[in-house]
Amino acid sequence: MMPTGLEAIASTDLPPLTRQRPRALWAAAAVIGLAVLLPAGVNQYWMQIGTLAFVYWVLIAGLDLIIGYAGQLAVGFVGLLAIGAYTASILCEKASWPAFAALAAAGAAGALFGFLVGLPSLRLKGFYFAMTTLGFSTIVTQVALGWERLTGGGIGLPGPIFPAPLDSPVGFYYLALGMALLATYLLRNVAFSNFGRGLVAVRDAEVAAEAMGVPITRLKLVTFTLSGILAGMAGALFAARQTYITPDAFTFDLSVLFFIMVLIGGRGRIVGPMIGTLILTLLPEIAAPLVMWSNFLYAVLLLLVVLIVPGGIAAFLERLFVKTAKGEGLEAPAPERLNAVLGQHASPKVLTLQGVALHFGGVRALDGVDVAVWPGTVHGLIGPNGSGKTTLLNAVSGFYAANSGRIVFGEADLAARPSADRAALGIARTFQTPRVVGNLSVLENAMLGAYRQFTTSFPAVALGSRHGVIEDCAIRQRAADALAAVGLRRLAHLRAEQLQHTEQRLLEIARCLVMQPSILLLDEPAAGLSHDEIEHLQALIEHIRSLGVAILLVEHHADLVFQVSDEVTVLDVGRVLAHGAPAEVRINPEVINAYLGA
Amino acid sequence: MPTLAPERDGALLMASDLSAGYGAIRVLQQVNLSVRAGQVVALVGPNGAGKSTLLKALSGMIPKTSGTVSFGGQDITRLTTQACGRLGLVHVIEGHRVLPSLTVEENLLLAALDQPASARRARVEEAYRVFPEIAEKRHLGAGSLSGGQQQMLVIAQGIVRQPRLLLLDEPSAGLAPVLIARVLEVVAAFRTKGTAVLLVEQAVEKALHIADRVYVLVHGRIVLATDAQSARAPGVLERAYLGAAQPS
Repeated sequence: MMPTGLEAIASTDLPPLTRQRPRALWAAAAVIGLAVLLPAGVNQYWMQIGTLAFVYWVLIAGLDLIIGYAGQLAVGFVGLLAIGAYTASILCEKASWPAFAALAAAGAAGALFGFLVGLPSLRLKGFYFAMTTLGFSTIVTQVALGWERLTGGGIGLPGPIFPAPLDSPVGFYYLALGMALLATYLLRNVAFSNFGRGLVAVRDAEVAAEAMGVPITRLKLVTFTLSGILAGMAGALFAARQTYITPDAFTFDLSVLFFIMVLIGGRGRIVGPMIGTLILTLLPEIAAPLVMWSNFLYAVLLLLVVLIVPGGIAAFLERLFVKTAKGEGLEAPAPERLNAVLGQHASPKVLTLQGVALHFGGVRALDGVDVAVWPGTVHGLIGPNGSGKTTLLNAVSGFYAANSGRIVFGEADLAARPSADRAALGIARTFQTPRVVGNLSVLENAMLGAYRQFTTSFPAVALGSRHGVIEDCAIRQRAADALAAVGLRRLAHLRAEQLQHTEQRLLEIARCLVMQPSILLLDEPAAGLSHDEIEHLQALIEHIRSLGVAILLVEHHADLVFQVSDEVTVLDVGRVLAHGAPAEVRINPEVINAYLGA
Repeated sequence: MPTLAPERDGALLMASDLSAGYGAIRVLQQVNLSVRAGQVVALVGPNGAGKSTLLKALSGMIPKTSGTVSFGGQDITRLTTQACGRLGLVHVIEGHRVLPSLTVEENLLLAALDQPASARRARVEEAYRVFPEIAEKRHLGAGSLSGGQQQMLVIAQGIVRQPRLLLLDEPSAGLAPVLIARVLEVVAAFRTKGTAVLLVEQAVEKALHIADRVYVLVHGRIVLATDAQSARAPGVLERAYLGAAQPS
């Protein structure tokens, strides 16, 4: 499907994504080299600590996806570690399974319980969700304590023993190192894929994620499942390293430790949490006499990091090694680049609203509205503030459900479809207050538009599928073309939060175009734009129309609306006040009175 | 160019050689600007010129790298935004930033917190007279207002604080044309009460119509400072915009 992908990569003049930084590759090689050589240089005690750090990292790599990328406050991950540890130990001890089979089973158990732990996150936010995970970890330790026949209760049971040569301290060190590398590989693959971008979007701009068609429920659950697998396998390794496990090993303190490892490392990063894991594994060993104070010390450390470098160790490293990206300013938009973006866009579809009504309590925001928007035309929607224009866009894009009436798009009745599915049907929208993902680059924000067009599955991406990488490059090229079309090309490498308000509006339009939509809903795209910029915007809108896309334009710049629209509908208190050709509407006395002013 | 010097006599706000930016990025370069009591001053220029940044630097939202700002004869260069607000320098920022979970009225009362308790109610009623649209919704959550209504609420929050100088950033963004006219009338009416306004506005013609004085900011520098009447003459602003775009 993407034979041109590779040529596109070769010819692209884009700034490289993080995964292609050669210096980072050298640094990674050096760290791995050091880890491989470590057993030759230190005594067994330090090697054991190294092993423990690797085991923790296997869990933290998954937890970073949950806390760092998806922004879900999961504090009870020790529960998943315990499930992995007990699954592997019980299978080895009671059923005489080989250790590697038990390791795999621990991963499977982790997957199942990771999924279950993730379920409440679909409904609960922030601390409410954190409490459920805490409850989960408490339940797990209580069950381990009470189910004596299986778990040995308070006496515990021996952990799995891996076959020689992995049963020696050095052998097990290398096994743990291998697993840690595998976990890092999975984390990196997901983090730099469209799934990673989708997770950050869910964290920072959930509404925008929904509008781009990110299936939030599925994405969260898949991510919880993957982090469950890693936590479960970490549990099996943990049990093997301890050689004997009791419920005492899985304390609340350990849960807090995991949480802090990610936070001081810097959420949503890879190297930061890795260093966080290393530091917090070493700290209790170095400060062994202070063990009673451990929670106090973690708290102080966390406070210090948050106060001095709020972004954690990762932000500190970036300040040292990454040059501050400077904006080179807007350039004139190049609408002709749109041909490449919208080249093979979805089939033309008509949007029809029939008698749509929507009320909030007693307030009738929409009161029987009829509107039709045809492919290849611009439909202007104007009206006084509070007349229901944005509500209408929300009803079409699925953020509000209409109380009565029908909204039909092409063949599809939109009544029962969630926002994310409407995006997949080809409905793209911008927001009155721009919703960009502040922590992603401008280019990555634009790439989010194509979220639903990726065909590579989550597991394949995590395992480094080549097809996924090629797809990613093709979308990257399309996103770059869309940025050029709106004039943001030179700002592609900035973080989106560094853009000005007006530039963020243009970025939203670019993101919508990357989606290759059949209809584009624009909510006040010209607000805050200068005279010249409005002319550029008009040219852009006209070009998009010429490629067969339908456009519904909500805007207060009357000149722009009347010049660019083929049809204009005027709303007032939720009803259609006037509808027709721009020239007729403009001289309608009621419209002048209610909206335009003398 | 004699027009570049700010008017020094009787200035309510005066910025001298003001530079500011974000981290290593320098946005404003030695800006000189003054506003007299009861004067409406328009600050215009292309997007990205640094207009919002200038307002933020004046009201203490971002630190200044050099230069001084005085207000009513007092040095406010290092004051916080809150301290500036208490002195009567009130900044209405761009974008609809209201507290969505509080009602419209609570949003206004909160803004009036600096005022004497006995006067708060009267200030809020005054704001309602200016924007009857939000008076109707006084007991609804501010988050349920439409975008344009939130914009009215934000401006109303500025009004209730009884400013001596109001910094208004793009007040017309998101407002219907009839309302833009009304907001600008309100701004013009401040003058009669002795309140000064520094107005950033993309609807340049409309802004010039009510302004007494105009500053043109391009690439972080003031390239023209003149009275509004001469700025309305054909070609004056265009030359100012373009002149700065080609470094000589």
